[in-house]
Amino acid sequence: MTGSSSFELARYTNRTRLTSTARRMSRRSLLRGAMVGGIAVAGASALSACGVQGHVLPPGSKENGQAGHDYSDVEKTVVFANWPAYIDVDAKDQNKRPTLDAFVKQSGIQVDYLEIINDNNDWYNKIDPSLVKGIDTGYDIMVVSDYMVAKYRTYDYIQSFDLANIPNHSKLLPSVLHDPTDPGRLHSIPWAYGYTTIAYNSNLVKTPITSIAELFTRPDLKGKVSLFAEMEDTVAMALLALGLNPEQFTDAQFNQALEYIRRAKDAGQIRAFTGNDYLSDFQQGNTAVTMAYSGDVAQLGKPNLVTVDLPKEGLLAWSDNMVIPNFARHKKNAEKLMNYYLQPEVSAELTDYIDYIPSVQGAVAALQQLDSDAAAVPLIVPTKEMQAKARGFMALSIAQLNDYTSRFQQITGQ
Amino acid sequence: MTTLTEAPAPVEERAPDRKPRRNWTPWVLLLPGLLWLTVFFLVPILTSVSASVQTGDYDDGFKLTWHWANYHDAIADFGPQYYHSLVYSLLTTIVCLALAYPVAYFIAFKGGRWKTLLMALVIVPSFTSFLIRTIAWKTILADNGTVVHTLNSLHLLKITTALGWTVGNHVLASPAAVVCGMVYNFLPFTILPLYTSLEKIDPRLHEAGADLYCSAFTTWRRITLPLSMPGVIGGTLLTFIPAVGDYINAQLLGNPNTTVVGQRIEDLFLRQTNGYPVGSAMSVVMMVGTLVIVMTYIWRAGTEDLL
Repeated sequence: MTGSSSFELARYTNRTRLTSTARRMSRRSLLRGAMVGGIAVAGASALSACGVQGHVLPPGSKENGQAGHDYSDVEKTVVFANWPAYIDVDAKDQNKRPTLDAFVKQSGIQVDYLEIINDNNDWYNKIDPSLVKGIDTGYDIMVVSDYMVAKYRTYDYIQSFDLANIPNHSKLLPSVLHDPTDPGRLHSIPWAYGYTTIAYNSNLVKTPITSIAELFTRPDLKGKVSLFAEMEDTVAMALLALGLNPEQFTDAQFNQALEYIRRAKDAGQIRAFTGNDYLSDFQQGNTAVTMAYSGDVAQLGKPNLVTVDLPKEGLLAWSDNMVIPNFARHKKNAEKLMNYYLQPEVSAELTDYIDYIPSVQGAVAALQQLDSDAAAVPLIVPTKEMQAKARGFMALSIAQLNDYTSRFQQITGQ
Repeated sequence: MTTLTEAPAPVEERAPDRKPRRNWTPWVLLLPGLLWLTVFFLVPILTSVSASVQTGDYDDGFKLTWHWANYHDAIADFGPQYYHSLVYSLLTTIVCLALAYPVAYFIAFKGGRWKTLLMALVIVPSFTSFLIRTIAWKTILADNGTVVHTLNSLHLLKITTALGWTVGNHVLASPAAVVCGMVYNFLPFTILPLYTSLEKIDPRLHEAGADLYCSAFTTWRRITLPLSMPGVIGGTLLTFIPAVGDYINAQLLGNPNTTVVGQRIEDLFLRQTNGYPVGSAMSVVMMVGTLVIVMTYIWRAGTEDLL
């Protein structure tokens, strides 16, 4: 580079820098004013637009949900939203699901099986916006817990079944059919039926546990007990421990149960309020005693992990149910799939894998044929006494559900 | 060469007879940043502030009612959570500093040709997911694991339990476990700024200190420490700010009596249908509180130029 050209360059850059600085100065002050104004306007409109639209209950048919156009005959498919690890898979190939694959083969209906539900409330919040607006959620079947069925029904979010497509509906056990949240089971069919009970590690707990109350009060279990973060489960256990009935309780009794839980928590009795991850801590020996879902612990296969099949005070019974949300595109296909799973042999096959209690007549006999070991486990095929002492959870109004949940969570601090 | 000398010519010619063209380039270049800030900072902040004075629930909708009592609820009902957040993050910051300073000092002055490798050893674990590293502590501190057995046979857990740091004869599900997890997760954030400022110090200053009959400690106190203050301030801030909002460690390694603010906010948002307003109020309180603490700290430390 010659001397003169570098000088030229310097002069050039210098000049442009000067001019652009000057220009920027004036523009900057102008823009500053504009931006402050803009932010104020945007802020005000954002603040006022922040409210979230509430539900507008559709008039009329509160009981039967809202049907969309049914494309079942044109589109041979069904979209099924379920929880993870809640269906039988082939021992050799995790991508093969024997019962579901057999359905696809038999019916010619493709199943889009999605394991995307992890939490009842999260899931509700996810699909609520579509249901409020009255549009298709994109799912034809979803599996939700029994108390949520009551909530969906209150808002008329799920459709009633056309029993002509579900002839096997008549095979549901009477105990399942008479459900407090859905009497007659015209809106929900159990995918899994189970108990909430207790499991403990006999290496860490010297005297066997026989009652629920021991979890809350026994001094040698201090700091070793894990309870569920789900309000229904833990409150039901506390109610049972207090000799009250979770199927029928008053506000005062609820408060009593809450106080019972709070006292145990403040005393350091409770190690954790857990979600679905309770099993890993239990199997590692970090929690000595845990509340447990029957299917999870029915066949742990370790002699030191003991289940209390029937605590003195009783058990909590619950179900996770298949429901069809409003405006589902493939309602008839969904009903065919439900009908398929209500066959005793299919129900037994599913039970044999997920270890929950079958809810169809004849399924126990089919399970005995299929796997006599599983059929001998009381948490899979419960005894008469267990069935007699199992209690459901009272159907709550939305206001009660919100109030109880928020007050329960004040205590769990989760 | 020629192009360089000729390049400015057109501008010189055009400049007089046209109004200067507006130069939009800087604004266009700023646009992605401004958009980013608007979408991911300004809007969320406004949404939270707005939500914090709304009332309603998920089923009936939320309405802006300027319900300031949410702030009362957000502060009055969650005292222990604010206390835990503050104490755990302060403890974490102090322990991190105590551990990080010697490490950074060693790498900066004694690392020699191993410097890069040593720094890599500090940074590489962060390539693993935060969540997985925290869950790993559940295995390390497991009740029937080696660490807890050793501590028990030394009767150390009796002392920590008496002090309220641990519970019974285990470490998991205790305040100590929460702080352990946080220290581990945030240690690199303290080491890196410290290392950067220590590394810049001329080692000859140490020699000068020794020449002037300073003991090694006095040299450190009078020369190294003041010169590394920017690193100390930067490191503690980078640790404290994320630590005060962290709730993964408390969730995974704590117990129901060690809950921090983040856990309750998550709860209010995800599991309570009417929790949005109070949850938002809590986040605003957290943000303002953290800001006040940090500004006071910077002001007291006399390093405004750090900002």
